[in-house]
Amino acid sequence: MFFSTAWFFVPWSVIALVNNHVFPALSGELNKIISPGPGMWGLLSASVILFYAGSRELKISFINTLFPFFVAALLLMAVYWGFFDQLSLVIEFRVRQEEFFRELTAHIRLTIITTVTASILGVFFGVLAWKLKKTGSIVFFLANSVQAIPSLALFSILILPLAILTARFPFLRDLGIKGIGAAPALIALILYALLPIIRNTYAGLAAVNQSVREAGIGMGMGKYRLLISVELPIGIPVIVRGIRTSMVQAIGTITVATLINAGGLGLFIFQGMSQAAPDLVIMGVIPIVMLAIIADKGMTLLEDLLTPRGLRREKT
Amino acid sequence: MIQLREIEKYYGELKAVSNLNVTFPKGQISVIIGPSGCGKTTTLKMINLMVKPTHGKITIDSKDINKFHPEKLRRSIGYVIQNIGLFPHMSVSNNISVVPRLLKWSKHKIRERTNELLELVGLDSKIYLEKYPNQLSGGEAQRIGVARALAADPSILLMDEPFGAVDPLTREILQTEFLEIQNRVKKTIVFITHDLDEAIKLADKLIIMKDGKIIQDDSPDRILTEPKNQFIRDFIGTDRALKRLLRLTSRDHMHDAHHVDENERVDEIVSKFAEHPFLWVTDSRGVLKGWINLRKADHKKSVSDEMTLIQPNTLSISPMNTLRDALSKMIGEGIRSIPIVDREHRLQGEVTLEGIQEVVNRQNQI
Repeated sequence: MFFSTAWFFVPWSVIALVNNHVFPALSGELNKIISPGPGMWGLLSASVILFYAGSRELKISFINTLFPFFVAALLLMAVYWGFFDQLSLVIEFRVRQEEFFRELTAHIRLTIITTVTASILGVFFGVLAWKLKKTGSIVFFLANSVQAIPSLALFSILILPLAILTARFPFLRDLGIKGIGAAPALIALILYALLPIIRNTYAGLAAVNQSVREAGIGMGMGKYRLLISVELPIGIPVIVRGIRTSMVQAIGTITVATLINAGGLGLFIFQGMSQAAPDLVIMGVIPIVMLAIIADKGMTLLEDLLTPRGLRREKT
Repeated sequence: MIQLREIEKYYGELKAVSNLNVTFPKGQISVIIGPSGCGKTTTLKMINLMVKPTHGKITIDSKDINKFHPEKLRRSIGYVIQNIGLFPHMSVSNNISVVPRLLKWSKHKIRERTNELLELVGLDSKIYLEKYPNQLSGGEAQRIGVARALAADPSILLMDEPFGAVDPLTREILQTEFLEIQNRVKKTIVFITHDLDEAIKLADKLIIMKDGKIIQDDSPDRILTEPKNQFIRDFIGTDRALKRLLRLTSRDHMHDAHHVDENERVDEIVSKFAEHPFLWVTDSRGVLKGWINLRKADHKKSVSDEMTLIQPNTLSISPMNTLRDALSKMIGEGIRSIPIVDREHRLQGEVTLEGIQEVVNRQNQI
């Protein structure tokens, strides 16, 4: 498995070696700009995929899964020190640096707002669905229906009602709510993020052993107390797993939200596609993939931390 | 004292229990037994308002339970269920202190009480306090379940097949310990089981139910000697004499055991025990070490050289074991008497085959 990460180094080292800093004489004879072809990007993504598939299969420790981040950090530092100055991607990045960080921040902000809001609403509706079975079927019907609508369609659907709303109540416009932009994007993103969280909250509560629940009631716990001190603590690992799914999903969907002017790294992807500039596309893709991996790992860590001691699997 | 008067419970059209009139006396173990679906669990759950009767009145110490807030009532009644229902995410100490914490006891008082309860159920608090339910054996978990139910010192204990999920050997140990605990705490206990041996062993009062009705409600002895109808006769089976032995503890029917100190010489004691060649051997503290047959022993040697060793807990039983345990062990080991030892394995006395026969004869005359 570590060979796959080692593949990282081969092509990139070659690029770095022929760079001015290392072999100025040699580089003079080559093209001034190096633009890796699709095969190399393919190799890069394949090694990342291979590493994660392998890490899950082999159940390697959390520290080891951090290894690719170490490699990524090394590469970023190399970029900073100018080792890749002739790489077309780096040249593109230098030109649009300011824009890049703006969109990166926007992407992260949308992710966080979506995840936090959807977690609060999702857990609430999940508990509601579990406690009131009739409401539950309605909640699931709605959440499932939303999930079935393609993201772009959902973004567009929201434009019209929001436009009408802001036309009628102009003060909403002062709050930054418009037919296009962040407001419809957030609404759609939150609606998307709800289903995994509701479903996992419901599943987490349903997984609580009936005899445990009965013991709680029999000892004089009220419904609310039972929920807070028995059902939720036992269900929390499953709930966090749902939030993780939603978060990773949101990072991907935000890419499309660019199309209704909500910002985010998708901007570079769509610009790159319309201008047939692969470097621009890759400049958007790499940070999105890294954000998704960071979110996934971070939430896994959170899940482990929030799992009560008595429910943790014994480490062998 | 708990009284149920004219209780009826319907689930829709389905009649769960009907015409239930029964009293559970203070400080005694009342056991309800019957085939599954006979309404015994429903009856139990009505006492702590987990099930509301359709008709009738339930009183605890002459007070109508409907006058209580259900949650407050439940906090004042201990509750143990078959699958124990320990909270998997809480340590043993937190599991035990659930009700005290609901009642907002002080931390100091809770800690003291937790230690006290662990000791009561025979578990070392140093080892068990910080364990989690998934680290406990079935028997240990069941003991914690009992400790948890006793936490706030309720006067009433409701137990729904509490020993149903453990293996037969552990079950017997738990039953014996449970009787010892009840001797100390004297709770009003309503106990549900489908194991007749368990019912006869534990019950001060035995209630046999079928199809939501009480068929017979009496002392176990009376039920064994005077079964009311054919159903009861079939239910208790043909080995009634053996079952009655379940009611009798070794403590009440043991004799003094002839024994010698392991350090004595055989020739010094042989004249003293001429009529009892078979002797138990103890050390200077009275701990059972083995047995010796003087007729076969070398007179020049000491007792410890000539005795046959007994491994602790193999060829001995506790004073709280029933005569049936004693009988079954004697038959199993092919011996005519069995030593009774306390927790520290000190010899207390012995139960003999002849002794058991005498008891049975005496009972049959009454």
